[in-house]
Amino acid sequence: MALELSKVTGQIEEMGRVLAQRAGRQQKKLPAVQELLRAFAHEQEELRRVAASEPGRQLRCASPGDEPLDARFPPPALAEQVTLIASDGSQIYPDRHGMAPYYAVNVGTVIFRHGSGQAPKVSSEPELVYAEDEVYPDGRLISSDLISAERDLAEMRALADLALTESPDGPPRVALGDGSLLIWIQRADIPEERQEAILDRYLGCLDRLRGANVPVAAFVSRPQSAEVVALLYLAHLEPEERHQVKRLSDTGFRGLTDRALFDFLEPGERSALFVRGTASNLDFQARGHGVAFFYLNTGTDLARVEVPEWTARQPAQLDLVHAAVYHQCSFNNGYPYVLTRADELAVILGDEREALENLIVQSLVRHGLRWPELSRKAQQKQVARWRRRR
Amino acid sequence: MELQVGRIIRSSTTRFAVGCQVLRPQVPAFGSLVKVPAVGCDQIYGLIHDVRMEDDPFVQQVAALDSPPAEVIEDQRRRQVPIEVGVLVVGYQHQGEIYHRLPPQPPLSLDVLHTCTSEELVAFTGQFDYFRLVLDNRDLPADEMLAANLRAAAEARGGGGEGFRLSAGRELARLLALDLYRLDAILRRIRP
Repeated sequence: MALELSKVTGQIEEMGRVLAQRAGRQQKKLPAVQELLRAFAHEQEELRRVAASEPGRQLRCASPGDEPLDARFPPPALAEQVTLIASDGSQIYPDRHGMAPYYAVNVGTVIFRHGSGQAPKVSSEPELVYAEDEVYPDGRLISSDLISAERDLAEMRALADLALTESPDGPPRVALGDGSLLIWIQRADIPEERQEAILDRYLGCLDRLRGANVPVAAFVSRPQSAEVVALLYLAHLEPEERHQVKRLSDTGFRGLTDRALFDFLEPGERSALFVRGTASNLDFQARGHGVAFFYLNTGTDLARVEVPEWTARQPAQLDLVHAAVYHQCSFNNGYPYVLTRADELAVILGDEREALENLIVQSLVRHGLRWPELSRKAQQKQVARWRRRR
Repeated sequence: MELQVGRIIRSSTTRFAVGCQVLRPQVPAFGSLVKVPAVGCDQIYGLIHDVRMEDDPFVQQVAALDSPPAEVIEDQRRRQVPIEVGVLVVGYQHQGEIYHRLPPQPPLSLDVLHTCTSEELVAFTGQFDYFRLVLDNRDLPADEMLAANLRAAAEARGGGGEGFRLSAGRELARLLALDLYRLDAILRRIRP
């Protein structure tokens, strides 16, 4: 007995009422914001200035490219043969109450040869990390933020490695990752020199992909960001008012997202291109990999597709990404098939983790260690939860 | 020929289950005689009473498409969706002798299950004492399973195995003398 449902029924009722009210308020504001998008559709120059200004950076405003802001591009025809390379990763975070100090990263990869009729080439590469320096950098147990950054790097490295082993004379290649192309690394829990090293290697992978001229894209499902909404908000204020805005959530546009803004896109259509306004994009821009994005109606959902600036600048490559990603979504419930498979290959389920830990325990015992055990806390949790796990 | 079916994932003295991959063409038929090594005897014999595919929403989603891409169909056929094969224990072999009774120990998990050769099928079905071990399982399609097994055993004997069908029928008549409807249904199924 843990969650007494009878005690939350009142809260659930209230929650439903409040959330419905909030959604209603946002829905009412939406036409006005969409009207702003049309009004500023051809003011790209002015909006780029707004995005680059101090308040624009403060609000992480997206910056428009040259396409009209309210443009809609239907899906281009997909080449008869395209090679999609996808990767996704998962991890086992270290558990200080567990049997042994270690963590693991597993990267699943898929090479999907569209138009070949062949089964995709699938693989997964697990890595077990147990070296003292790596599990206890600075003498403290490694943070989950750092492991996540290492996983992101491993995913990008797998993309670059596989894309570059595909022949440049074969069908056009597209490298596709899950989540943002920007690596989230400016975290308090990651030592600064590690931040720099991981970022440098991550951008190095993008260097290799750019060198081979393989377009790269990252797919964000149900994006929550409001970078275009923030841009429109600032742009519609008088210049002297803009400095007073610290956060979008303090304004009347609170809760509105780009995903809602672009709900006028029809299935397969993409929006205009924008450049991401997040501060971490500056590091990417400095190395020529500034991250741009467009919204895409995948058929059942509105997703954000991110591409590096060198992919965005080449219309043929951008069309290839647009067509390939939409095609992948069209037969997989609005989400790229290759990413579903890469995730399936990467994910470490509970019983697999248990099997792995049994093997680790056996190995420790074979090497003369005392039979390792869970902490008393973890043991007692298992004892108490036993009946509920059945 | 002897083929590997898969490995034991669950077992007890009376039944066990084997996991295997989709693409194995050697997934044996319902009612086939199979064998697995065992502790305390040479091997355990069983009849396949069930072949099932685990639920997989991903395949269901692809199946619901009008025309899934060929690459996706090929991919789905190679995904490791486990097929589970259920086996009913019908006897064992100890020091070369075949016994139609439950073995002293169940097979161990991850032991490998093989199909039996025609010669082994003929040898095992040389006596009929295992009938009761099958017929007593009212929660399984026991009659269908035994009939399928007897048809295969008759074929293995060559020439239609008429004599074998007759003596098996007589043994069934003895065991099911008080349940003529059931007897009739099985006899119809083992006729040539």
